[in-house]
Amino acid sequence: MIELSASQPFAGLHLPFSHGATRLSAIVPARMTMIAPFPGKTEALVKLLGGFPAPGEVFEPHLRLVWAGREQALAFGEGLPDGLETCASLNDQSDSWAGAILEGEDAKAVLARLVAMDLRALPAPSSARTMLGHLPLLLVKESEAEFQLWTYRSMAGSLKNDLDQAMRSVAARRAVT
Amino acid sequence: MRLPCPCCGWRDLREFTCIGAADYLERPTADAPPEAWDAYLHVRDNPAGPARELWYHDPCGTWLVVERDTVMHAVTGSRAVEDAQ
Ligand SMILES: [Zn+2]
Repeated sequence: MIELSASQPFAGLHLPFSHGATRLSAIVPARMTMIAPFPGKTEALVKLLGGFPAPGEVFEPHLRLVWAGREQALAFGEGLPDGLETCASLNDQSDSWAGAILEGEDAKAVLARLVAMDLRALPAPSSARTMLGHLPLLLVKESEAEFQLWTYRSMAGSLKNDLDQAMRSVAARRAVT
Repeated sequence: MRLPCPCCGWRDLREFTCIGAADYLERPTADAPPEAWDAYLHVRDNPAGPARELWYHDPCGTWLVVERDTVMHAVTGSRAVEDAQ
């Protein structure tokens, strides 16, 4: 009988690593559920979940809820309330995402090379759907020096490569100024 | 060029896909005459000036109607299709 073993999205990609003042580390996957409210069911959903994030919102009434697209939110962790399936489409996406944490005082400078958004203007915590280079990106700003970067799992290698290069460039620039 | 997404705020052009004139939203009924379907599918104005266009914000999945000036490149408004109809 074949023994299947779970592998990590960034397996073989040599995370964590640092360049200069920035560090990139992998997030160990946990349960992630995409919640998309059925039309007209948002009120019932809010009662069960304790809230539903507006665009860009991140909060934790019980489970951590991250706005993840138009009328969509990702719930992190186990224990969705019973009956939720009657007011929203629930989609287990735990295996579909690759998440990494970029942290350090130069994290914003690194992301400025790849993300066409002013990340200084975002509150913390908050989320945004955007792009990192050519990759689709769900960005969660945790603080001024910590960002969660989520892309589709098949693109983990590209995410690492793009960030590796930007981190090296920012570190090199720091070294000569 | 930057465009305002009703969900996400101002974003760079590279995050959007332009579908074409907002005429695409006025679909004829199934029993409309062939001329109406022909116009819907193929006949477009080519305005030099204010235009209403259908755009898609790829990262968040919002369809939007953008009002912009094809001469000035000024973007004067945008609404989610869901709210504009
Ligand atoms: Zn958007």
